[in-house]
Amino acid sequence: MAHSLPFLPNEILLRILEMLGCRDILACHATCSRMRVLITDSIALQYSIELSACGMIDGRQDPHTLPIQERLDRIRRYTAAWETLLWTSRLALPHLVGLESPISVSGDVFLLPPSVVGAIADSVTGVQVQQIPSELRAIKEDHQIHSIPVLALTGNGKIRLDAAQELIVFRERNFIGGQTVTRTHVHSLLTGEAHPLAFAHGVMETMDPGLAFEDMCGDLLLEAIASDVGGICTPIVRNWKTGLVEAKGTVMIKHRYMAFLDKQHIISVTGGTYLALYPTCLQVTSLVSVDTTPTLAESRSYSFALPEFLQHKLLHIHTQISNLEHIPPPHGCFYPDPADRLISVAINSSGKRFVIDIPVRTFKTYISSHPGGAAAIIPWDAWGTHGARMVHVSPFDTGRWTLSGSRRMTFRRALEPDGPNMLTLLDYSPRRVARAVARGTATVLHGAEVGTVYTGPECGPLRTLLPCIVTEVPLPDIMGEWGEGVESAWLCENGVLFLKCDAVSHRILDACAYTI
Amino acid sequence: MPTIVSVDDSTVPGEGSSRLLLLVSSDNKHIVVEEDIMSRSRFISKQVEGFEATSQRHAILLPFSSFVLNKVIEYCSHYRGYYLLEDDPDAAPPGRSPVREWDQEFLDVDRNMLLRIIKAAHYLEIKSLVGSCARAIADMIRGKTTEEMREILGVENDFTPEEEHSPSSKCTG
Repeated sequence: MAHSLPFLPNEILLRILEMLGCRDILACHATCSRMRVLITDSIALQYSIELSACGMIDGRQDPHTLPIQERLDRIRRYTAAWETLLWTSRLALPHLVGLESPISVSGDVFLLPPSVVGAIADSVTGVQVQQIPSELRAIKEDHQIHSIPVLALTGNGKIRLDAAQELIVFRERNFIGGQTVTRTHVHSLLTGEAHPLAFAHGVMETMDPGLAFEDMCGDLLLEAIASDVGGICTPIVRNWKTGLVEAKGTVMIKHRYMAFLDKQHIISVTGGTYLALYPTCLQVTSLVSVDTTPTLAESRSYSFALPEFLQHKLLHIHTQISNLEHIPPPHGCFYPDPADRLISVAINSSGKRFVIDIPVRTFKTYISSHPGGAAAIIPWDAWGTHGARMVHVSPFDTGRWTLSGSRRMTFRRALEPDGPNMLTLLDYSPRRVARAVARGTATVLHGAEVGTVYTGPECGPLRTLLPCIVTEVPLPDIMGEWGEGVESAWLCENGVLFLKCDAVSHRILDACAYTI
Repeated sequence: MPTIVSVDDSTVPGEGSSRLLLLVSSDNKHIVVEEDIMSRSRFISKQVEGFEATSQRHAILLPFSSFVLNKVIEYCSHYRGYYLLEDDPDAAPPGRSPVREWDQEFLDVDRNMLLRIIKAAHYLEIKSLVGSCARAIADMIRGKTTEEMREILGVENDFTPEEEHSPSSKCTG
């Protein structure tokens, strides 16, 4: 007994405990009162426990960044925000005349069109990057708006953000000497300057007028034919760091609307306005980088074989990702999530709404192992105005250290004044849900489908281990709280509710951002 | 409490950089070791600074057995002349001590010995050794149930029934 652990100094015990994970710390906590006091009083151990409870990991253990107390405080605020699902305070965005929706959304950042005085949108001189201040995103009020000063954009340029890489890519087209010259700019999101790693000072010039910038993934940019009518598509995958074409090929398509880039695949969603007219399919093309002859290897087409799809044959593939309200029932829509490489599909069928999530990384596996093509189907018993969205929570701080964790939420009747303002929450953390239930802020939905949304090793250990739990959480009365001035609303892919308000007395249209 | 006894200067001859120290263990064994080797220990370094200030050298009495002391000296000899970040008093402490393979083999000893070494290392203020021992002990505890942990740690459940079922930490309540 003389050399059993309790006779070690507290300092040593803490050193030992700090090496343990959450589970072991909690087991030690239950052994005796001395350990309990030690663990309860240690900021570092509390931080470790709470971080695990959130399903997060601390990105970097760098003593020069945030002190542990500040990290703990942030985690507590973050947890409290998720437990009560507090809506963030209204953030009014000024000078956004005629703004319909953000240009691009990624992670906790979204890109707003520039302040345009007047209606001339042809010569745009700058864009604004908005980070959403929110406890749910663990973003403080002081990181808010950031203006990227001069981006010589033409009106039809396409802009994409990659907040994780602090990257903004945009494309401009110019007519020079009767020819269309397309320039792809790769800039840093932080400075607005050409990205230091980008090839040729951040500008790639091509003479291919038909190619539109479609998607990005890591170092790769995808260009493909911007066409609604279908035909032969020649996707080109270019590396923005080297300027080289990594893959190029020919794919026969029918009626293409969207294309996404994965590290190994191009996923294009093809099909017509109605399935009755054109068969809708997801086409997966393997990318192969070859030194001499770049090619796109075999492409595979997968039709959606969902029974509900085929029964009703009414599927509208909506191209405007953020423009949800223009999807009248009974239609479906696709929501790609660049951060998680996930495509969500919401379909209405025989009065029920289905949300299907297809992780791009395991797409092939799902298709082959699930004849229905669905990773998970969550039946909605009533129609809602808005579909499923991915809420991605990252990064925690200004990039010096990051926390990551994803949460899936499904909104039901959230914006309907008459409907019960309920939110169906799918959470990866059973602990969080249990706490929310214990506090009375959530009730477990009886008869709801509870299961693992993600399976398979590619999706990461966290999601494989933790089953998702379906709960219902009361939402604030949106229409009551925000007044009747709300003219239209969009739920962006990062979970931000984007409202366009009409303040009649001022005759000014304001855009407000909410984090859900 | 360590006591300092005066020793004859001839016992601890000063020879420039590699002077010798006399360490006395709790079982009264006298161990002569080069000062250089023990400079990793903040405790010894402070003692040596004291010697230099008073120009008087003493034997250093240590409250643990020669068996443990020899093990610590073995550790210090192995890392003689190596820079270990944790032992640098001026460097910011690293978040977690790194895994060193040699340490893992070195600390492949029974539990009691491990506990004695960590106490000695703590007393001597050798942070790198404390870190390695803590890692070894943590490995021993990891994955055990609360009941098994009580057995390993040699503690008794001193909670009242209500206490035992109280929330496991203030954050999870």
